[in-house]
Amino acid sequence: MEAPILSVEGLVKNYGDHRVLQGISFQVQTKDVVVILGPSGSGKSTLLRCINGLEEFSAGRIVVDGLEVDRHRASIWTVRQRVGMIFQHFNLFPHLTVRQNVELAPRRVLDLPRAECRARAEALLARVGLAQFAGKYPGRLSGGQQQRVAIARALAMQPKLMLFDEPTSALDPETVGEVLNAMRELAASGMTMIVVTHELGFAREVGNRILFMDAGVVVEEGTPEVILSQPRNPRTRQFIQAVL
Amino acid sequence: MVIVSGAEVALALGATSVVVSLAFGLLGWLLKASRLRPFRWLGNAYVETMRNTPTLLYLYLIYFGLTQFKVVFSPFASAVLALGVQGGAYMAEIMRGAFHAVSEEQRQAARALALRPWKSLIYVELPQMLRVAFPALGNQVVSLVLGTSLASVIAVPELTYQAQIIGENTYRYFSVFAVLAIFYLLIVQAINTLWRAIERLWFGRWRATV
Amino acid sequence: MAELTPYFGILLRGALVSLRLAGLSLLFASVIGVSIGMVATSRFPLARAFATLYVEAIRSVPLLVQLFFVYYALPLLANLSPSPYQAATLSLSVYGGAYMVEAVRSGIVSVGKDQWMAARALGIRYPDTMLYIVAPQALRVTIPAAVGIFIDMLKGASVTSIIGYVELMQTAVNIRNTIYALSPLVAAGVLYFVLCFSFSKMGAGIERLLRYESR
Repeated sequence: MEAPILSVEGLVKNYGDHRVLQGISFQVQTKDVVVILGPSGSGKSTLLRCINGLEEFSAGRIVVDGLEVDRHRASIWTVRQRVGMIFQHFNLFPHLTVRQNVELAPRRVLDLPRAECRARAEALLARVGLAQFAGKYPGRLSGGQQQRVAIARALAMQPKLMLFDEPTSALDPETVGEVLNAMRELAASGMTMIVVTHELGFAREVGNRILFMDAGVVVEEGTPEVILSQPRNPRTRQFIQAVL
Repeated sequence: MVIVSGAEVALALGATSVVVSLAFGLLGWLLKASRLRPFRWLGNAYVETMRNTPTLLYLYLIYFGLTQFKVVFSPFASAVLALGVQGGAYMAEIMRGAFHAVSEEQRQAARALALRPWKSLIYVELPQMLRVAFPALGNQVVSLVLGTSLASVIAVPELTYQAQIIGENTYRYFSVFAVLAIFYLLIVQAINTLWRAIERLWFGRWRATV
Repeated sequence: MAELTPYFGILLRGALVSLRLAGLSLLFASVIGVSIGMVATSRFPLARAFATLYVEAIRSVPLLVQLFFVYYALPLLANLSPSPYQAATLSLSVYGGAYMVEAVRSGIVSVGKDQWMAARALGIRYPDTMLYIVAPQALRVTIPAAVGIFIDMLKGASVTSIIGYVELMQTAVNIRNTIYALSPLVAAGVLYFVLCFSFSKMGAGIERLLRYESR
């Protein structure tokens, strides 16, 4: 078996007196679609943000694509080039058009020529079904459209791993579907994904592994069939029943 | 008409002072935002001092002070320096407020895309800061233009100075100062209208912030 | 700096003159502010327009020009000859008045429409509503703003030196012209700073106090 694309060992994060992450360990292989479930405050988002260095962690080790994740080292910027992140509130840049949003990072980080950036942007926007919005500003798009632009923006860097932090939680129910479809297509194309979400349908259909987190600990880990239908741990069972 | 040349000088003085105050404002903001305490203290001292003392003081200090140290600055340059340094403190506060108004999420999105701090500042944060600060910047420009009237006390031939001369020569103080007031009124209204138009044209398409 | 010592008392007296001028002008400005501020929030669009006109006009003309107008130009109309003190007080009051109108207006607006509706439902009429319900709450916004305006007027008082009113700035200039040193100006600067800074800290304290009272 080849080396995992992500390896988390004994990850601990303290926020003042509060221990948000209590020693998390797991691995992710290429093409895995890992869904992280759990109640709010369980540390799911924090875990995601530690992986690409947006959050500092207190102890433990994270290795992404052979690179150690350390915020204080210059290598963190290479990590961020290889890891894409989708935020709950999209965080598109309001002063740039949709196309410029997607072009920005390839142009200014990878220093690719303008023509190539534009080609990449147009191909990706077509892929998420938003080619006709290329010249518009994000403020004019619906939430679901903005999130799809965010996906295209992250893909423009050709990441090896994509992190999704509750991508549909801030969306109207009508637009949730279009984002999930884009994510489904992405998974089918072989992207390695870690998704924090409440969308159990997605977890069942697209995910190949589920991590259930509660109070900073991975309580249970397994395939969707097991976790969603016959969870072993009582806390998992409680959560699944409450959500379903 | 002499009064028109006065207006030209006033506008030139105003424009130059705006540029100088932007420069000092940038310096003041960076000092205040620095990680090193002595720099932060310096920045705070600069802003607090300027905000709690009158502009006239600096005009006199530079005017009298320079003659003492035998440095020759034209009255225009002295006025630009005084207005610019004092105005810089207000600019620094505007910049600081605008920086904090840009949401942390935007910075995180930039970082997640591997944009380093400098690039994030230039391509993501500064444009948004400019939008937030734009109305306040407009007020500051108006304030500086109105402040040019004080330069008359060190004999800069701007509007108020020319008006005073005309007044002394013709004794028709009422008409002269009435016209002077109207001149300023028109200039300020023009600046405000222009500023709002630029704001609409430049930032109007952004509509809602994501 | 030592050459300044005999003049220190005079400087302090100049500071007191500035304070007195700013204080008196603030008083008049407050009267203007409250009366025109109420006009600015009245039901009558014409009245509101008049108030806006006043505020916009005063804020579009430099204080110095307004001062000159009062001191040199107005007398020609009314055949009066105001002293520098009178012109200074009038001009500063009208100037501060415009800012006080805005402060009063923000204060009144900060009390939501709901309060007005509740008062009307209880049968309370406009004057009593204003006096017992709106004003106390409006003051929470207006008073901190007024402190800021006072500080601006203290600095603005320095401009009155140009028509010969002897307050702190003119005192410093006079001393400077006597001893040909920069120290009086610097000392005046320090005095201005100490005064304005103290008042601004006081204003922040008042603001904090007023905010807690509503809890």
